[in-house]
Amino acid sequence: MKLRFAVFAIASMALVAAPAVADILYDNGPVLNTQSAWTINFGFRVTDSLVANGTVQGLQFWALLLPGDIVQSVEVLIGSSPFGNDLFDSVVSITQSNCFTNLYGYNLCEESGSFSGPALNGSYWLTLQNGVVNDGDPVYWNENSGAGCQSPGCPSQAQENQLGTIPSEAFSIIGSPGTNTTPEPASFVLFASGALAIVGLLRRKGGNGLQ
Amino acid sequence: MARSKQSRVFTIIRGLLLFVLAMAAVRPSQAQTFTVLHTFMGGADGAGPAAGLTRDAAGNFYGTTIDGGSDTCSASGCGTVYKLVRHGSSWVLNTIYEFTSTNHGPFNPAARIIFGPDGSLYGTTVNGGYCNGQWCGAVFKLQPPATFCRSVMCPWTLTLLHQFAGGDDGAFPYSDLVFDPSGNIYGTTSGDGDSSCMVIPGVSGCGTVFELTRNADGTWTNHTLYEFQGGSDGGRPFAGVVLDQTGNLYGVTAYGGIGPCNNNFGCGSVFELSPSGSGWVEATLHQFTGGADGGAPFGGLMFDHMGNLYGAASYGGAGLGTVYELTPNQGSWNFNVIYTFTGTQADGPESALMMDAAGNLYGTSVAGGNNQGFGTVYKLTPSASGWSYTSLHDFDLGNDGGLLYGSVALDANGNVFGVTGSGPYPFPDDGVLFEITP
Repeated sequence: MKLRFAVFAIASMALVAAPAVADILYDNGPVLNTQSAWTINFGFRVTDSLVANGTVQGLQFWALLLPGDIVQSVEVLIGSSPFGNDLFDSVVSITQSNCFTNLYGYNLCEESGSFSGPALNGSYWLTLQNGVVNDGDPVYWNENSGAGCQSPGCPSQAQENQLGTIPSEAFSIIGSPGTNTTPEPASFVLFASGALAIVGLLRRKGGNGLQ
Repeated sequence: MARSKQSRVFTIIRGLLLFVLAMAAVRPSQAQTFTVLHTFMGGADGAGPAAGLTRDAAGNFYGTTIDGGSDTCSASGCGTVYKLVRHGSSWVLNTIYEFTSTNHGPFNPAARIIFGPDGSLYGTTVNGGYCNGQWCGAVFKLQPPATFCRSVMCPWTLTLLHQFAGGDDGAFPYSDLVFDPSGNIYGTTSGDGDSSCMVIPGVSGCGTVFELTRNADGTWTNHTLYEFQGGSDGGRPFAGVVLDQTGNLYGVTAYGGIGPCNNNFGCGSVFELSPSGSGWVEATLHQFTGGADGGAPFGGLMFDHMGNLYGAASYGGAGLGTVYELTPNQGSWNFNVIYTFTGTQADGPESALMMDAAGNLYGTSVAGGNNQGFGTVYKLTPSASGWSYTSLHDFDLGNDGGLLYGSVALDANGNVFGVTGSGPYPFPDDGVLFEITP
C-alpha cells in the first residue's frame, strides 16, 4: 500500500517536472469556413507573427484547396522579422487531414508537418511559401483574423509579400515548451495531488513510528 | 403436372416483362440526372440570378446575380458576377466581381454577360449611372487579372464603358450585348428614348436600340440607333439583339402594339434594324396579338445555321406561351408558331432559346411543369411531323429551386447548365446553379 502510494506520488511529480513531448507553443485559432485565404505558392508568401517559448517540432495550418488537391510540402521560414528566415528555412513534408467542403465548393484541410525547428523565446514570424500540390494548383492559407486564438500575444499580425498588411491566418506551432513555461491548471492539480500524497505518506509513516 | 407448373411460371414471367415494358412506355421522360452545383446564399456569392450562363473554351461558366454581394445598395444587395470552375468532377464558385453603389455604381446586373474579342467580359446593369435623380443603368467591362491571384478571392477589374443618361440616351438596360466584327457593341434599353412615348402610363419612353463605338482614346460613345414608338414597332425591349452576316440587327419588344398582354399594354413585336446611309431603318417583322401567335416576348432571338430565327413568347397560345420561328423568304420573313405549351408543360417562358448540334431547342420557364408549377427546363425536338416537347426537369422550389428567367447553356457532351431565380424556399431562396445530365 505504502509502495503504491509512493509510486503514484513520484510519478505525479515527475510528470510535472518532465517537459511534454509535443505541445502547442502558439495557437492563432481554428479555421474559419470562409472564402478568404491567401496564396502561398507561385511567388506569393504570407508571414504571421507569433509569441512562443520552447523548441519548435512542427506546425499545423489550414489550407483552402480545389477539390481533390493534396498539399505535399511547403517551405517554412521562421525569423525575427516579417518574411525572415534567420532561425529556420526548410521544405517540410505535409500530412493532410480533416478536410471538409465550404459553400463555394472548395476543400478546407488541416495540414500538419513535423520538423526539428529552432528554440524560441519571444516574438517571431512564421512564413509559408512555395506550397506544392499534387497537380500544381494553388495553395491558399485560410484567413481567420486570429478568431478563437488561445495563446499569449495572439492574434497574429500578418503580411502578404506584395500587398502588405492582411488579416492573420489559421495555424499553430507545435513543440516542447521551454523551462519557464507557466504550468497549465491541470499540471498544478497533478503536482498538488502528488505533493499531498507524499505529505500523507510521511504523516502516516510518522504515525506508525509513534505507535 | 410439372409442365403445367412450368407454364404458369412462364406466364408469370411474361406478365412481369409486359408490365415492365408497359411501365417504361408510360414513364415520364425525366430520366435525366439533376444536380445542384451551387446554392446561392445571398452573401458574397450573390442572390437571384436572372440571366443565363456563358461558357468559355475551358468549360467554365460565367453568370450574374442581380442581388447579393457585400454591398447593400438596396436591401437585397448590388449583385455579382461569378465564375463556375470545373475541377475534375467537382465545381467551385468564384465571385469575380461584387458591384457597389460607390460613385453611383454600376449595380444590379440582370443580363447575361458575354466575352468580347479581347477576352474580357461585357455586360449591362439595370441600375447605377446617376441620371435625372435616379439610376439609369450602365455598360461595363470586366478584365481578368493579368497574373495569378494572390488570394482565393480573385476580383476582376471593372471598367465603365457607358452610363446611360436617360432621355434619348436610353435607360434601364436588361439586355445582353453583342459585338459586330468591327468591335462595336449593340444592345437595348427598356426605358426612355422618345420620352413622349408611354407604352406604360407614367413610365417615360419606350426604349432604344443602342450602339457603343470605341474611340481612339479607349473611351466609348453611345449612339442611339432607334427609339421605339410603342405602336406596331412595339416598345420596352428586355432582350438583346442578334446580328446577321450583313450587319442587320434583330430583336423583340415585350410591350406595345396590340393585344391583351401585360395588362393590355400590348403584346410586343419582332423587329429588324438595317443600316441605311448614315442611319438605321426599322422594320416590324411580326406584331404579336396575344392569340395563337403568342405575345410578350421577354427572351431574345437566336439564329440557326440556316438563318432562321427562333424565340419564345411568354403569353398567348393556349395561355402558357409559344415558341415561334421566323424564316427568311425572298426578302421578307414568314412567322410560324412551332410549339404551343399546354397542360403541365412550360408556362410563361421568358428566356432565350439555345440549340444543340442536332437542332433541338432548349428553354426555361418561370412557371409550369408537373411539380407544383415553379418552372421547367424543356427541350423541343424537331421531326417531320412537327416539334415534340420533353421536360428535362420540373422545379418544385425545394432544393432544386424554381422560377427560371435565364437561358440554359450546353456543353459539348449535351449537359444542360442553368440557374433558378429563387429557391430553395424558404431559406435561402436566392436561387441555385444546376446541371442536367441527359
